[in-house]
This record gives sequence, structure tokens and C-alpha cells, in this order.
Amino acid sequence: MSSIPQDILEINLTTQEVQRYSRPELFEKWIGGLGVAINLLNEHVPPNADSLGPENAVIFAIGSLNTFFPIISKTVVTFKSPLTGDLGESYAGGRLSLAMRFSGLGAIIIKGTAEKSSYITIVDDQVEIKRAGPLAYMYTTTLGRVLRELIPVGPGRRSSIRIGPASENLVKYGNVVVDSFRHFGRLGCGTVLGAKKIKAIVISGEKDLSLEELMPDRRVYLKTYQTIWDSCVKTDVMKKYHVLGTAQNILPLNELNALPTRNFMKGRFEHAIDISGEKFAEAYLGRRVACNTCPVGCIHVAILRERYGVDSPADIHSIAVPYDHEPIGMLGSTLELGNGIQVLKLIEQSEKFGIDAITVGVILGWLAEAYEKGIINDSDTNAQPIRFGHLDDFISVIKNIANRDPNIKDLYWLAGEGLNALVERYSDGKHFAVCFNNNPPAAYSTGPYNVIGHIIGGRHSHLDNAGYSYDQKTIGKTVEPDEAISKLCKEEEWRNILNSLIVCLFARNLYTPSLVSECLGNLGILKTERELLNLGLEIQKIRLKTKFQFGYQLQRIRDRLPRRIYEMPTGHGILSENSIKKLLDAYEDMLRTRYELKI
Amino acid sequence: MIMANRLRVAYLERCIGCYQCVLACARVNEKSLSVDRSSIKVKTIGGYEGSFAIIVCRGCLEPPCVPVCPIEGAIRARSQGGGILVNRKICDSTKCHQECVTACPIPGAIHIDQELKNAIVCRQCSTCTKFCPTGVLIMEEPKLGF
Repeated sequence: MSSIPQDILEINLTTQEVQRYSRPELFEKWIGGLGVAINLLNEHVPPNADSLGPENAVIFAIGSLNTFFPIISKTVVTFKSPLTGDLGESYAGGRLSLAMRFSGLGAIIIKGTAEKSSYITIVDDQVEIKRAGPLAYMYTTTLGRVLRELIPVGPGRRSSIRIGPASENLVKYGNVVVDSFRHFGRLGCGTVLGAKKIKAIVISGEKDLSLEELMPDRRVYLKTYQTIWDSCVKTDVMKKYHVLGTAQNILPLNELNALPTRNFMKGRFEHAIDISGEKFAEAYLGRRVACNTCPVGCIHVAILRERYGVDSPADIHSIAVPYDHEPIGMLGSTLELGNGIQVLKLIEQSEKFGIDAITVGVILGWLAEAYEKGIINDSDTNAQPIRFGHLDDFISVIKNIANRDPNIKDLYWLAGEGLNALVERYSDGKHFAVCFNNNPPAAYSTGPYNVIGHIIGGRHSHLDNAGYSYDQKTIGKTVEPDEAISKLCKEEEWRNILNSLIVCLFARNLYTPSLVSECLGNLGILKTERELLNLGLEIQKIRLKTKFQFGYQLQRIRDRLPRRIYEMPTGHGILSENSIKKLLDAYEDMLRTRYELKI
Repeated sequence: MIMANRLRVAYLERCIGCYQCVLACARVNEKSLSVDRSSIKVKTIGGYEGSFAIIVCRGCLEPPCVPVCPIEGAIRARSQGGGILVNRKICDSTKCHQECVTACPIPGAIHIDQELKNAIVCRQCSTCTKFCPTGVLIMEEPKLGF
């Protein structure tokens, strides 16, 4: 018996064939999670695959420590991204990793394309692919309730993941809603499922693992568990996440001149206090919830009260809406919406249609600036104004993008393709289209390393290498480009290990190389710290190889860098083109030397 | 002397659905990584948008599950603090009609492990209370006469 589930479920939607097989060598070598999922992506998706075609695959995987220790609650998904054309990789919490663990599954591969809109149920060893019928085009929020009633097995250990109309209409940044409030948010995993005509997957399992059979010494494991639990609950190491949640970042970033405002024109927002974590906690917070195994409970859920009538104060209903720093920044300050209720309404709109809040926020910001500058006008927008600070405009535009007509290549269709498609049509807006390989950044205008981090990150995410964090540690300091690039690359390599276990990155300061080695040892997996760091490097090489094979070109991103990144305020002041160039030159050297790539 | 020896879900409003209690029970009592083998369950009512429910034995002083058990010595009331203890060597779900499960008015508080063929029920050991990060669960002296 192994602590790493070694079974893979492979579902071919075209042939309706389902296989379950074991790959112990794969899981043992790569310790699960990202390490396994990136290798399976290489095995199953040809480099020239159409991201929306049957040859693309969606690969979910859990890691060797999932469910065994606190805050190790994530599931990874890999795919070829329809938004960037290269590596698609995303993480979600909720209950999915627990459901996979107790189904005995280390990975699930979804290939091919279903004939009609369908959903998949995985209940222990039973797999069924069923017609979705009236579930198609249902809001993700409504669908969650329907799925609970439709597949009532395993309450408490069941997970349901689903897509919304945006993904079914192939908007390139459709997300996947996991249970409630968590997402595979970025890079269009939902869109790939939409193209495969998979509306939802429900998974539940009741397998259990005998700790005595599994472990060299169960008492040692119990002691390690207790130590980690004490650190989570009895020290301040996780405090910021459970008190205000990630939304606590709004005010410090605003103070730093690093809160993207008015489509990155400004770094401070005059209404920051009204969209801060403090304000949300005081005025809107309804409850906190946690992902499985996490005693922190960072998921902050607001209760949004909405009036649907004007005749009676009783014409009101309330909705639970999750909030985090990133959606607040991108749907709040970026759009100059300075009221928490407005931000919550826009988060809810994104949630219903299943559209990535970060990406659509930046696209809405671009549209508002383009509209203001006359680059797009009422004839482009079908007479829909798109103005900063106007909630109703943005509510309508999200709906128009999500419900886009594939046969009418209008502004909303282009917006559904991403910023690159918009500026190809409206080239005068090129300089303020803030994205890296068509993927917009998260709400941290902290300085050069955030920009660089997004450009060089395996999935163009702030979470790849935490450039935003390095920025904040280096304010007022001089760092040589080689040193900075080395720092970011090594951070990303270590995160490859955390992402193979799969630790929630909020606990990255807790799960040090030493502790990770100890936890694995508890389960009989012997890896020294050095071996783990080497494995992180090997995973990075495969991620980069995959990206390059899929068509990623660093030079193309360099050529397309928007001028706005050299105009916007940051925590390090205005960035110079020369400093970014030196950093990228240093990264190109790193690609050749450390990662052995010929570029 | 006050004996805090019965589990109570005292502050359900604090529950964040983290499953620490569920997994701790299985880990410590059953030596297992499991949700199903745990004596305490957390589930959502209406999904995460709704509320949490914690399903666990209420620790009756006069447990209705005991007298209905047809297998002598399979379960007995605890001598102090309420609730029951299951003798795993004697309890055998294939030799009864799971009368204990149907006698309990809390659905799910007693369930049958399909592999062990045993009743799984809380034994008031307090492990779950030690792992609840928000203080939902407490041990207390039984005062109510159920």
C-alpha cells in the first residue's frame, strides 16, 4: 500500500471508453500532484494540439500528502491553455482532493469530445457519462444545488466541479467552480471542458487507508500532525488568512502605491478603505469556511442583500458571495468601483457565468479606457456605455461577453478571446492592454519582480514565483539582475514541490523543505531536502519544455510588453524599460544554463 | 467533582467545515485515514452557501440503542457521562437488523461500517474537541436527562 494513490482514471469522451489503471513508477518518481500532472500532459497532449480540440486533455491530480496533514488540500489541473496557447495549470481547494483521495485516484484524465453536453459521475469505481440535457448553460450557482440533489451519494465527502455559460460559449478564460467558492480560475480550464462538452464532474469515494499498514510508525505521524496543527492554530503564522483573509492586502498595497487602479493608471484608489478587508469584515462578511483538512478557514463569504423590487422593503433576497484580494482589486479599484456592494455584485456576476474574475476585470478596465479615449464607441458596443465607476455597465458587459455569439465577431466576441485579440482589432489601445502572453496580472503593482514574475512564470501567474513578495522585500535595495532572477527561479522550483504534495501556498512559510521531508518520511517516502530541491528543478525543466513545445516564445512576449507597465506607479516607483530588459536578458541566460533550453 | 465527559456540539455557528474533527477521530480511534470510519461527520445543508451540520452521538444517559440490541454484550451504556461503548469483537451487523441504528433518533449518529460489520459510534473520547480550531466542540458534564 502506498500513501500516494497510484490509480489513474482515463476517460475518452469521443469513444466513451473508461479505463482505470495503476502507474506506481510515475507517482513514486514525481511524488504526485504537479509532478505527475505535467508528465501526463506531455504524454497525452501532442504539442500542436488545438486547445479546444479533442486532442487536448484535462488532467486532475492530487499529491502524496493530500489529506494526511493540515492545509494540504489542493488539486492541480493541467491542460493546454486556450488563453495563452501554452501551459495551462491551475489549483483549487474545496473538497475535491479529499474526494479523489477516498476514490483511490491519483489522477483523472479527460480526453476527446462528447457528442452532446454531458456530465460525469465518479462514485468509487463506478464511472458514468450522462447527457446534461437541461443542465447545459445553467448558471454555476444554480447547477451546484441541482447536482447535490441529482447525485445525493456521499454527502460530506462528495465534490462537484462545474462550468458556466462563459465556458460553454468558449470564452477563453472560463473557469471551473469547485464545490462552492473555490475555482480552477485561470487560463481557461473551464473553456477546455466547455469544448469537450463536459458541464460538470461529481466525484465521491469511501475508501479508507490503514495508517498502520501505510506508515513505518503511526505515533511519529501523530506527533508531526500535532506540531503542524499547533503552528496553524496556536501561532500567528496563518493569522492573516483567517482574520481578514487575503482582502487584508488592499490597504497595505494602496499605501505602497501598488493597488492597480483605473486600468493600472494609478496605484492608489481614493475609495480603497471602502473595499478593504477591514470594511468587508465589518459590513458584509457572513461566514468563514475552510477547504478540507484546513484549520485556517480563509474563505471569506459575504452576504449580499439585493432588492429586486422597489414597492416593498420585503422585496429582497440574499446571496452568499466569496471574496478575496484579487477579485476585489480587479473588479474594484481597477474599474473604480469604490463600494463593497458593487464589487460583490460584480464577483457574483462572474461567478454565475463561470468567468475568471481577474482576467475579466482587466479586460473590463481596458474596455473602459478604450471607450473613454474613443478607441471603441457606441457602434462597437451596441450602444452599451462602458465607463469607469459604473457598475451597471460592467454587469451588462460581463453578460455580453459570457453569452457571446460565436457567429458574430463583434467587440464582445473579441473580449472573450482576451486582450491580444482586442488590440489586434483596436491597435490604438495596445499600449494599455496589460497582459503577459494574453494572461492579465493579478492585483499587485508592486514593482519590477511582479512584472518579471508574470512574464517568466510557468503559468504567467503571480503565484508561480511570488515576484510581488520579492518586490516588497527589496524596496530601497539594489539587487543585481542575475541575483533577482535566480531568486525567482528557485522560488518557483520549490513551489513545484509544494504543488506536487499539494500544499496550499498560503502555508508556504510553514511547510519548509525540512518539514516537507519529515512529513514524507512519516509516510515512508524518503526524500532528503536536497533531493526535493533537485526534483523541483526537474519539474521546472519539464514545465518549460512543455511550454516551448506548445509554442511559447519569450521574445514574442518581450515584443508585446505594453507601455503601461512603464507608466504605472508601483511600489518601486516608475519602472524603466532598461531594468526590465536586463532582468529578461538574465532570464534568457538562465533558460540556457540552468534549464538547458536552446532558445 | 464535575466530570466533563460528554461531547456536545456547543457552538455550531463557529464551524468552518474544515474536517479536522472528522479526520482526527478516524486517525486516532480507527488508525485510519477516512471520512466514513469516523464517528463524527460534518456535512453541509444546502452546500457551502447554506449551513453546516455535525452528526455525532449525543451521549444519552439512557441510550435507546442499547436495549434494542439483540446481540448480548455488543453495546453497553457507559458507566459515567452518557453514550455507549461498542464491543467490536461481539458486534456483528450480519447477525442483526441494525436495531441500534434505527432506534437512534439522530440519523447518522450510529452507522455500520460495511467492511468491519461493526457499529461505528462516538465513545466520548474528546479527541475531536482537541483538533477543532474554532471551539465548536466541548466536553461537559451531562446535565440534561436524555
